[in-house]
Amino acid sequence: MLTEIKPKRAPSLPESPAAGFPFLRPAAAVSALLLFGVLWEAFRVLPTPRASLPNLVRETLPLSGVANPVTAVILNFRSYDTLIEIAVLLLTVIGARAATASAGARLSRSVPEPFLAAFFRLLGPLIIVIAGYLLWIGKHAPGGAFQAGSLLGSAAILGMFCTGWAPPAESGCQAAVLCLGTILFCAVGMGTYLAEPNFLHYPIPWAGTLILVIETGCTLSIAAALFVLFTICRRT
Amino acid sequence: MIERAIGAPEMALVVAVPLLAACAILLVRRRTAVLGMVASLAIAALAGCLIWRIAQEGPQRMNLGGWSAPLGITLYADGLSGWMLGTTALIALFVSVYGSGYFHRNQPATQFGGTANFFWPLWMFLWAALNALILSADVFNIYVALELLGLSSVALVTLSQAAPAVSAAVRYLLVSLIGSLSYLMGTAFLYAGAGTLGFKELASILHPESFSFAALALMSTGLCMKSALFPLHFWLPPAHENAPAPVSAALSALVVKASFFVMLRLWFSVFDRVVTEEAAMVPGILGAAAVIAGSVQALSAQRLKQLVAYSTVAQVGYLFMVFPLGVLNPSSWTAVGGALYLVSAHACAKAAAFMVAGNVLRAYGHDRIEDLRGVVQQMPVSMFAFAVAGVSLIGLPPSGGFIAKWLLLTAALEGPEWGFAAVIVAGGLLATAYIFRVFSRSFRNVTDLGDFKKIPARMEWSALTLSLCSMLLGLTATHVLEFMQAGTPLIRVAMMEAGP
Amino acid sequence: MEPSDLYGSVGIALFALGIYGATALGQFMRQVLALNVAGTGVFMFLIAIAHRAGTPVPDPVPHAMVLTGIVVAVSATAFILVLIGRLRDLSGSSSAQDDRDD
Repeated sequence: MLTEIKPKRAPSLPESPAAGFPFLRPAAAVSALLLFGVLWEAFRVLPTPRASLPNLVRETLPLSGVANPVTAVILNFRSYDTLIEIAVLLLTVIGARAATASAGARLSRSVPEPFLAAFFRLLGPLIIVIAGYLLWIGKHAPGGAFQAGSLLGSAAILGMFCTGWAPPAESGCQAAVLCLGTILFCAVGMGTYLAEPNFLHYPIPWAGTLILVIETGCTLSIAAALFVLFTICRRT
Repeated sequence: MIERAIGAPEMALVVAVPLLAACAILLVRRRTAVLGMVASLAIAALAGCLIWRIAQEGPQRMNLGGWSAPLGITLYADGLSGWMLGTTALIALFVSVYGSGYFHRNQPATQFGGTANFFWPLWMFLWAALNALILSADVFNIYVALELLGLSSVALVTLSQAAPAVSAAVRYLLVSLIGSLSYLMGTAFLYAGAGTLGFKELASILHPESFSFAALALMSTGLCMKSALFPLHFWLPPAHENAPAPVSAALSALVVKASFFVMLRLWFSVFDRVVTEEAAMVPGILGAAAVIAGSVQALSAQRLKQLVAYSTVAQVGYLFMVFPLGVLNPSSWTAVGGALYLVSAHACAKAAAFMVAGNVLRAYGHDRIEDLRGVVQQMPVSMFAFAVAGVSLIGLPPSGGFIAKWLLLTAALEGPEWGFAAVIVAGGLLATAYIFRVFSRSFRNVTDLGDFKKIPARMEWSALTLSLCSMLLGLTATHVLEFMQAGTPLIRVAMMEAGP
Repeated sequence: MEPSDLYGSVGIALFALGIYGATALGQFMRQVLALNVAGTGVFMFLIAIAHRAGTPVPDPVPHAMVLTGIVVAVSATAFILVLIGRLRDLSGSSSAQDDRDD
């Protein structure tokens, strides 16, 4: 049977300042209805779309190094957005660490059934292979770093539940994997200055390879970030 | 389409270098303060290079990835952005100096010793977000940068590790997220109606239509929430009061101004055919209310940090009065120049004020205004810094605050907008009252002084330098205003023709 | 009515509903959930827009915006949940309510 340390009675969830204003609910309800009305009306009378940007993406797709238009937009045309977004993910992990720095580790170690460990021995490698496939297929079909990274992260969480393994609080290796995506992205961005005087300007023959390199780094970082965030949430 | 735009590399480096520095500090984890200071100097140097380049060559445009808008993201640096970037670099550099003294290794581990290792990476992320926000010329890119900014600010607030700080942080984050979501919905409407995300293209496409009004309202609401405009300012005083002093300085001086800067860009460059005088009155009236409400609440504040935080609410109100004053004739620089001047002068003065408050808190263990007797005897440098900062906050000559308020008042009288003029004058009087409240307590000679802990010299001197900068701004007004106009940024046509 | 119009309207409705919840509900946790509902509404609206373009393949730019938005929303939600948990610990340990054994 699953043996767990019996949790103490949890304190009630914190109340927000909105609880103190009784007139807030009807006022907010009316405003929300107004908001819906205004936005719906604006949506209804939207002008016919000019398809200039999708056509532009389709025309420039052969130069981007990948065949999937969404991957091209995320990792080539608008790669700067993705760079900042990876930084957001890394920042969240650091911020969560910082906020819980003075909290004690209360991670209850559950000893799972041996069946689950055996099950994970089968399932874990399968998930990793599928994640790798998702990463690779991103070039041609829906897929890519985020999907693969989420899958890998959930595999790690599943492994933690199935085998009872708890990660160390902090380690250099963990920090390295977390930062890998951001560092790779910035390094490639600055490295392209050797070829073209521009940031994140992949030389066209190298575009596909560079995108794959960045995506691999991001996959590992995303997986690590999601896993670490989960463990931090569990501790609090 | 591929277009080679040889923009200044500093534009991208000024974002990439802080990100790399943050990663480096996370990986090395030793001597974080040294790494942080080196990185700060490097970023400030890059910003300085960019400003010099703008002054010499004119506005800079960089098409990231080699793809010109609308396909790719463009970075654009004209006089306005250059000035904001320079202000950010100056304040951030001194916040770094102050922070290296505040988060000293020898502090007890329960308080700030362990958090020094978290302060520097988070601070680098914040600086990267500010730079990215200032230089971006793409509405969706601004959304991502706004999120980076908001999350890093909240993370820095929680460094105090105390319950009031975490409670304030949750409130701040909630408001910030609602604001970001509102901004994102506005972006979605913009794309739905206009089919592009770049400033230049949007400026030529947007007309007064339903979707433009909806987008303008959504984006402005989000940005006003992030700038703590009355009445959505309730999150700011607890957050700035309970954060560590260098964080409060950065938040009040830079973070609330960044979303204001974005709103300025949107209203006057992107949506300039869509905005109407009636629409512009909304932020103006709310700003006027903020001036009065913030100043009145500052008068009754018990603690020094609380007083300074409410002062921020009031000063941000001045900024939002630029919308009605500037919409009447956007190419006249009186109102807009005044608002930008206020951004810089207030940033210097407010950062200095928070640094002094932090010094007082560190030295005496408390910052209750009533018990500040005799502070001037033991901390003359800090109190002098606070005095100089106070002069700028009140708006007395020859400070930068005076130039700013003078310009705003002139614009209001040109209107003529008597209401706004009266509020500007009243705000100055109220600011005098709450600044002098601090001095009347601290400038008393007493014989019995409480416990005093010596604080590092750099904490006092960085406060003094920043407050003197706000004074210096007042003396160099003509040069600054001339630089800000590089690229005539508020005339839409200029955005279409600027750049190589 | 085209499918994209329906999805767009639902997206706007979810957004309005989520904003209402985020501002008016009385507990932080519920406000976070409402915020997620609002975020989902925005993403749905963006995907509806992608279909309106009338091109043979849906417009990839809003899809990219949604992907980026999802990552940012997940990060922000995770962070605010950590903070709420921390707040609960800090205020729970100092509250007068004793921990009773169930």
